[in-house]
Amino acid sequence: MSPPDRINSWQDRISWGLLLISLAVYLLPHNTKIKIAPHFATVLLSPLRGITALRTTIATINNDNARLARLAAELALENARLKHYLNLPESTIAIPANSLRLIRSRVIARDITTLKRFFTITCGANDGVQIGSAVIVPEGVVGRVIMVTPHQALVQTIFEPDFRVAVMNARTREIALAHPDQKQKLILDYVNKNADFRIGDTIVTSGLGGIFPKGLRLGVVVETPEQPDALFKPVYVKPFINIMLIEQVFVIITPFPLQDNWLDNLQPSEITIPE
Amino acid sequence: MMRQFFAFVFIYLLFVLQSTLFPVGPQFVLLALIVFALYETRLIATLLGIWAGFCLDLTTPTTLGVQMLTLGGIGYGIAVVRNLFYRNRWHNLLFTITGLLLQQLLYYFVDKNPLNLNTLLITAILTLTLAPLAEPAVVALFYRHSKK
Repeated sequence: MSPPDRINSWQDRISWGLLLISLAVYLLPHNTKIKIAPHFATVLLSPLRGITALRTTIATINNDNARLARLAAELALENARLKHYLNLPESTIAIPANSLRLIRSRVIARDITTLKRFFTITCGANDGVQIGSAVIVPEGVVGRVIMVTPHQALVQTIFEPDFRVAVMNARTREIALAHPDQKQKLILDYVNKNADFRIGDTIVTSGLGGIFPKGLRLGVVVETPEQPDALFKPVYVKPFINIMLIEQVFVIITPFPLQDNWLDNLQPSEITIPE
Repeated sequence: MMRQFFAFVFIYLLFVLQSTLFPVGPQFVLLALIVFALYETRLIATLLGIWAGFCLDLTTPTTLGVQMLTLGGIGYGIAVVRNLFYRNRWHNLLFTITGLLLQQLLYYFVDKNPLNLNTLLITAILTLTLAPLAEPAVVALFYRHSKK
């Protein structure tokens, strides 16, 4: 074991001085430290900021990559669904084997009061559209045609108070009649009190009535309040579609004439569309 | 002289590495400082410690001076007492434990904040694991041709 070096050399004295300076720096008032530090930090910590920014950028890129991958998957799914609608074979669940045909159409006008009850589309009688034709989007049922001109048609949406559609619970296959309420939801009528409707159940068209093919998605059950005195069980359904976001729709064209006389009383007399 | 200059640069690079990539990780700066203190003069060891502490203090300006004093003291202390020890592989571990304890305790008394034991434990374990490797690494970089 070698003896310790002398500790009073000039190096030691300078070292002690430096340590005393460090102590003095520590004893500086809080505000002074805050004022001094940024000047040095700007220079010395700049690589830290660069690396931190790089890490943040990489994290952002990773998040964006994951988000875009999800978006790509969703778009691929939607693309496949749209292709499915456009090139649908004759025998499927949505389109039964009776040669139904879909035509795509743009929304060009809406009713000026609520924007949700009626809208005009760019296909008409010349395209095979007739009164009663069902109008849908990939998310679900939109409404039906209530007036036709050669090149345009007026669509009554599911939010129009007179709209009715025969539906069924996709899980239990129990049928009901859907109509809109005042809160942009649908109410199911004639639901048996013992019927099994649960929150989250998907409601689809039942095919009854001859307008909407069986199995078109309409909405999801969001509320089934208990009303012991009611004759039927109230069931509230939130539609899958957002009517305000719809720009294009598909019209289901049938090769046979629809029964249009039962729709006469649903056609609002005050609404006209230009020829 | 160039070696000492690069030692300062090396300490700074380790500080950047420690502060950015391994915020909860080994104390690279402390490990390098201990090795430099074993090989450099007392003045250089103190200066390196103060420099390392200054860099670390800038990340928490409210306690500016604490790390300067602690690491400066550690550098100077090791440079003073290094000849008391036989040069075996355990002395580095002992200095590291002492350094870590000093650093954390002083910070605790100054900052008045309770120590985060989980972070402290992880940091201590990783630092002590790397401690035996620190000297060969620094010596290979800076003192390859030194007879000390």
